[in-house]
Amino acid sequence: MPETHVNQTIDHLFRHEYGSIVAGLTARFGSSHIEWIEDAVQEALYKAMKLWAFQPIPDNPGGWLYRVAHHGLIDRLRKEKRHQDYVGDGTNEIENAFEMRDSKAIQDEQLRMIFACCSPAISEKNSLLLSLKLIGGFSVKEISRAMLMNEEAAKKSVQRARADFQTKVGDIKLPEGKAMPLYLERVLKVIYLIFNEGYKASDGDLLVKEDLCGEALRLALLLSQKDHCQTSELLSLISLICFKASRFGARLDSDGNLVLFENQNRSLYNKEYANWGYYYFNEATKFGELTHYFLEAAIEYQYCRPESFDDINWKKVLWVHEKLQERWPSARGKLNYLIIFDRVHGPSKSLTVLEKLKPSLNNDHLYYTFKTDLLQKLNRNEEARAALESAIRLVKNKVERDYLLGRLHAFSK
Amino acid sequence: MTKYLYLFRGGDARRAQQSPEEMQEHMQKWGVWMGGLAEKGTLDSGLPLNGAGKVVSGGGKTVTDGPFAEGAEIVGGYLIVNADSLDSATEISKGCPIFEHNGTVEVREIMSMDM
Repeated sequence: MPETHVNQTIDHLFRHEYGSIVAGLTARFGSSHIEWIEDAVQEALYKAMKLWAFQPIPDNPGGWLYRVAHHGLIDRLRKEKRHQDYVGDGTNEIENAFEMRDSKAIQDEQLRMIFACCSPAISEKNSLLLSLKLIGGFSVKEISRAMLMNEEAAKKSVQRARADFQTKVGDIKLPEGKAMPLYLERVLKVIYLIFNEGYKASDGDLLVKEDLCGEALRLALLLSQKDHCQTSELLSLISLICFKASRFGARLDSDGNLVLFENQNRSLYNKEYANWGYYYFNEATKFGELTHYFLEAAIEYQYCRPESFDDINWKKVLWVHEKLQERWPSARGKLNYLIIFDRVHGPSKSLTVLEKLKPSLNNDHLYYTFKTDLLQKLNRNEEARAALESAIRLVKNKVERDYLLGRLHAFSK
Repeated sequence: MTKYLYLFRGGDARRAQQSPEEMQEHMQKWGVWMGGLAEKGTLDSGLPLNGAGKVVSGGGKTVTDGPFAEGAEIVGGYLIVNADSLDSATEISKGCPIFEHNGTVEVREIMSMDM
């Protein structure tokens, strides 16, 4: 009879099995059946939920779920009189399917699914949505909660992304030869986007957001199992994610207010994540390539390494920002560069350079936030206040707006 | 000790719409609840029921496909528990996670020879 065994279930078992089984069935039945496949997996999970509430979870829950979902899908295909094309030589395949899928096959299917969802034939945004929905097992509601979309909009976006998947992706296979780097670049970009969606300090659901970060890391680690995916970019990206994730718990105070990097309590940093960051950073260093992700990881390395904020080597950080700007110039990047420049060279010089950026950053609240910082340091308080008001007018994120309003309030005192 | 039957009704439609994560959470709550009943010796037995079924009526001549009632009232599972009294069995049922999804529990005393 039931015991407390269910408590021992691994975290996110259902969500991960959703992704794993969708990948397995899509590899066999093709991307064009994705909608029915998702239905079948959802139905299998629903059965499991009812059964396992009353009975012990079987030793291989994934195998059980896969077999039930497989059955459900075959049933539906059969009802639609299209089964001849998929069942092949009879029902044996249904019985055998569960044994045939060992852990190596499962991993391989997941990898193929990642590349399919991140096909360059579809947009980055759709790749992100598909990765979350089909691989991560996130529901539309969870996606909307994490990404601050309303549920209806998220539902429509996911439907459009799924339609792209059905028509544009084709075979679920690993890209070969010259296509590989192109796909890999897209995959890394999407993983990074997923991580950033989760990492953004906003008033989305914090728990789901943390799960998004975890999913990004899981995908990146999955990728790193494959020999030809082990590039400097991937290892750097993993390192970057681990460094940033190590600060997750220190970014908000107990009231949910934003804590600035310089005021963060470093004892709240997660050492395990930081150590993974160092490990993967060292691995990436062996390639000796100054890739974009490597440089970004290098900045995070400089941030995480010292005992205190005051010990951060800003000159080194500035050097890395210079390299980033040389190779990938952008207005936002220049602004980030200037924020470090100020720490090394002071507010007066920084303000002069900053004002040259105004035409390209006129609608960016970060431009005005930083301008406020500089003017305050120079005791030009009236101008600082005006800049702050512009920042508040432009900022969209509620947590950030609250923070800026707090600063404005302090001005009036 | 007398045995009591819990009939779980409803809540299914809403549960089928849940995300994988929510389903797992909900399942774990059932596990915790029933695990607690098992530890105290309250739990006797129980099983969930599939949605599919038939209704036989008209002297056994009429067979119709389920469902047998409006969606909200379909029996989704049952449990048999040991309790001192109907009141105490009713009290115990209040911890059931089915209430999260607007389901109901019908508590019935099982007849016994030793009266």
